[in-house]
Amino acid sequence: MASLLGRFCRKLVVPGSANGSRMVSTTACDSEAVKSLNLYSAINQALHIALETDPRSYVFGEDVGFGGVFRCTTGLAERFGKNRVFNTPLCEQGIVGFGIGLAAMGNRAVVEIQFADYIYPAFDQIVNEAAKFRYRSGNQFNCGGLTIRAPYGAVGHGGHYHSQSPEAFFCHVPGIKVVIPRSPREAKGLLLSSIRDPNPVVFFEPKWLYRQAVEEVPEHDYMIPLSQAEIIRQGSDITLVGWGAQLTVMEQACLDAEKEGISCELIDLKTLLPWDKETVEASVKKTGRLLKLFISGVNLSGFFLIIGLTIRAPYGAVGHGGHYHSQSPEAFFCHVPGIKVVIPRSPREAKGLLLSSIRDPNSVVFFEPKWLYRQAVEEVPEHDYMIPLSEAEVIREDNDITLVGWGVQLTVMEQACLDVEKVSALYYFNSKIIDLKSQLPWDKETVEASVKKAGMLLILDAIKPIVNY
Amino acid sequence: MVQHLKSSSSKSILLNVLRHNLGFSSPNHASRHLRQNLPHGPLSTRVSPNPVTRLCNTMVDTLSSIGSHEDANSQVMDFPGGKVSFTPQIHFISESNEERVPCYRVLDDNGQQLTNSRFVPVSEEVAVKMYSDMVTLQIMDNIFYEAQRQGRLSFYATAFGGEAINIASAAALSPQYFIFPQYREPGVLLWRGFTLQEFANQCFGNKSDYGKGRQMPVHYGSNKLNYFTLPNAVDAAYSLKMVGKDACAVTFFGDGGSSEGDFHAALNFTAVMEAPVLFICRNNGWAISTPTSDQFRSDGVVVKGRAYGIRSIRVDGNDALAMYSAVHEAREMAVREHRPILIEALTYRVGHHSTSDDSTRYRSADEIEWWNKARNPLSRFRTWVESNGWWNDESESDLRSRIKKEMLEAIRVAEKTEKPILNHMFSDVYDVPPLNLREQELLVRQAIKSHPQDYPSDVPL
Repeated sequence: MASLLGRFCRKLVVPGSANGSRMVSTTACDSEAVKSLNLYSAINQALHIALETDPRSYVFGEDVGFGGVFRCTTGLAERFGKNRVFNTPLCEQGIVGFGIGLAAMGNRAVVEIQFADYIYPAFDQIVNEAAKFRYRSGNQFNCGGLTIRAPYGAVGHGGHYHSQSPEAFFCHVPGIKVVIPRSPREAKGLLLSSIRDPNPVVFFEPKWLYRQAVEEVPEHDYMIPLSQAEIIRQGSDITLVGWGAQLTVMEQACLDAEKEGISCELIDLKTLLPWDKETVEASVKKTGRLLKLFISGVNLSGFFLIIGLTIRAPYGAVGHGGHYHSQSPEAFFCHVPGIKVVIPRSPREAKGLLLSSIRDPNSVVFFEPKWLYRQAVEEVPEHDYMIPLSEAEVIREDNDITLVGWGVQLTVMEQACLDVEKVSALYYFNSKIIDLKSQLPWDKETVEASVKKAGMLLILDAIKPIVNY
Repeated sequence: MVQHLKSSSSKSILLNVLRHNLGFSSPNHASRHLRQNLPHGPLSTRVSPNPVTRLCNTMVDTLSSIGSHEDANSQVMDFPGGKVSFTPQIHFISESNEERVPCYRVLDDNGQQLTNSRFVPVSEEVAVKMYSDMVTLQIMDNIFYEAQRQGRLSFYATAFGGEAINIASAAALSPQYFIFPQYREPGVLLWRGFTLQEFANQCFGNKSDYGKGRQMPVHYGSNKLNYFTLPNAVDAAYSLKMVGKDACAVTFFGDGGSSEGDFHAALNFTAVMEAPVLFICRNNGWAISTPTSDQFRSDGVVVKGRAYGIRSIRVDGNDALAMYSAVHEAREMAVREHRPILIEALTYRVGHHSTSDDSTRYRSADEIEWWNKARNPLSRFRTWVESNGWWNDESESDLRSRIKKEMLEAIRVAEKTEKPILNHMFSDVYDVPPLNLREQELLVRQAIKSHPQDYPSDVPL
C-alpha cells in the first residue's frame, strides 16, 4: 500500500471527477461560484460557515487557535473570538467530554482530535457517553450537536502514531455516525451535514489529501446527505466499495483492470455507520461480486507488545446489567494486530485456555462469559493442563450447515440445533457447531474445511439485548 | 557568576578577592563554611586569633548576605508561566502537610450547634423540608432494598449515611442548576420534587419510566428537574457561562470516582475554561471493597483542587447544616466569579455498595453499626431541628408511617404497570432509526410470531 501511495503522491486525480463517469451525484450544480481548493481549505470553509450560521456553535481542540497543525481552523479564532474557538489542554478524554456536555446543553460542538491515533483516551467518552446519551435517558437528553473531527490514514512517513485508520473500532458502536469524505468538495458538504446532524458524528479526514487533493469547491453553504453511498464509476463485472483516501488508488486500479477487460463498479460509502446497504446490495445484485477495501491492517501490523500480558475481563449480557454491564467488546479487539483474543465456553475449557493464554508469549485479552460464572458447572480436571490457542473445535458433527460461535452463545446455539432438528426432521437439516475459542488469530483451516463440506456458514455473535450492527 | 558580577561590580570584585584569599568558590559557600567551622553561633561572638581572618570573615559574611539578597532578586526569572524566584536550597515539597486539612462542621456529634460555628441560616420551612426529605430518602432506600431481596427488583443501591449530603446540597442549590449525578444522589431529585412513584417506575422499568426501561434501577434522569442521567458537567457549565445564565453545573462522585481520568481531566478543563462547576465528592471511605488507603495516598480529595488551581473545602458530610452552608457559599462563588469549586464531603457508606454486595465480607459489622448509630446524619440534624421547636416525636411517627404507606403503594402500582413497548428497544439509538435497526425490529417481530413461548409475556408488542 505504501508504495502505491508513493506512486500517487505527486498528482492526484480526484476520484469520480476527471473521468466524467460520475453517474449519481448529490453535490451542487455547476452554475454556482466555485473555487479551486485543497482538502484543508474546504474543511476550513465548512467550519467558517458552520460557526457563522449557528451562533451557538464552538470549535475547540489542541492548537486550533492559531489555525491547527493542518491549518483546518485558520482564521476562526480571529473571526469568531476566543470564547467560541479555543485551545484545550492536552487531554482527549477531556476534549470529547467537554464537547458532550456542550452538546447536551443544545450547542454544536465541533471538536478536533489532533490525530486519529490519539482518539483512544476519548474512546470511553465516545462509546459509553456520547453514543448512549439519547438512548439511556429515554430521549430526555441528547448530545447530537457533537461532531468529532480527526485526521486519519497513512502518509508514508507517519510511523505508528500519525498513520492509523481506526474507523473500524467505531463502526461497532450504535448511536454514533462515522463519516469519511474522499475529496475537498465531498468533505465540505459532508462536514456541514455531520455538524448539523442531530446525532453525534465521528468525522475522519484523510490527512494524505489535505494538500494533495485539489478540486473545484462551491463557495456557498451546501450539504451532502449522510448514509447515502455514491456510485462514482459504473461497471458490470465486480463491485468495489471503499471510502476516503483509498478511493484514489481504487480508481486507478479500475482503470488498470479495464485494460484487462474487467468492468468495475466503484462505490464511495461516505458514511460507514449507518451505511447505505441498499445501494451496495443493488450493485452486487448486478455484478455478482463484491470487494471491500480498507486501508488499515495490512501494512500497519508493526504493533507488537513485548510483554506477555494477559488481560481477563468478564463480558456479556446477564439480563439486568443495563448498558454498562452487558457489552460484548471482543469485536473491537479483533482489529488490533499483535494481540490474541480468547473466549472459553465452559469451566473445563476456561481453565485450559486461561493457562495457555497466561503462558503464551503474546499479549492476550481473555473474555469470560459472566453469565456462566455460577450457572455453568462441569467436571474439571484438577491437574495443570492447557488447551491450545487458535485451534477451533468441532463440538457437534454434521453436514448441512456450519455454525461458528464462541463463549456463552454456544449454549444457545446447541439448543437451537436441537430445536431445528426436531422441526425439520423431514429435511434432515443437521447442523455442525464449531467453537472458535480464539477469535484472533482464528483457526481458519477448521472452519474452511467444514464449510467446504457443508456449503453453508452462519457466524453467531453474542446475544445482545440492545441493537447490534 | 555573570549575574553575580552584574549586581555590583566593585563589591563583587572585593568579594572575589576575599573569597580567593579564603579559598572558597561562592559567597554563600564561604559564609556557610565559616559559620559551620566555628562552634559559636553569630558573627559577633566569633573569636578568631588572627585579626585579618576575623576581618575577612566579617566582610565575607556581610557582603555575602547583601550580595545573595540582591542576587536572588535579580535572579527572578520569567519562564513561560510567569515569574518565579529561585532558591539556593534544595528543598522538596513534602508529599503531605503535617496536619490534614481541617473539616468544616457546624453541629457536634450529638447535634448541638458548636459555639463558634459560622453557617448560613436556614428557615424553619427549609429545615423541616430538609429533615423530612432525609427521612423519606432513608425509608425509600429501605423499602426498595427489601423489594430487591424479595426478588421484585433486579437491583438497588442505597444511600444510607449519605442523606445529609444528598438533601442539604440540593437544598442549597436553585432548581435551575444542572445536576450531573453519579448514582448515590437520588435525594437531590427527591428534593426537587421527583415522586416516590416516579422513582419506583424507573426501578421497575415500566412504561412510565422516563428512561423507557433501558437502564438498571437507580439510574434516574429528569429533563424537567434538570437532573442528567450521568456526568459531563464541565462543558455544560461552560455553556451556561456563555449564555450568561445565573446558574452553575453541579456534579457528584465518590472517593473511587476521583481516581478516574475523567475527574482529573474535568478539574483541569474547568479551571482553564473558568467554568462555574461545583465538584462535590462524597468521600464515604469505600469504593465497593476498596478502602481509601488503597485508592489514593493524598490527604483525601480536597488537596487535589489546589493542584489544578481550584478553590476547595473539606466538610463534614454527615452535618446537614455544614453541607448546606458550604454548598451555598460555593455556588455563590462559582456563579459570581465563573470558577469551579471542589467540595470534599467526608462521610461513611453505611449500606453495602449495592444489592450485589455483602460488605461484611471486607469490613467489620461493628464498624458499620457504629457509624449507623453514633454518627447518623439524621439524628444529628433532628436534634438541632427539635431544639428550635420545629419538630417532635409525633411529627416523626406521622411522617414515617405516611411515607411507608406511600412507598408500598408506589411499588404496588409500579409492579403492575406494563413494561415499555418493544419498539422502545430500537428507538432513540439515533434521532430517527436507520435501516438496519428497522430491519432488526422486523426480524425480532417475526421471531416472536414463530416462537411466542420464548418471548416475555409482560412486554407489549
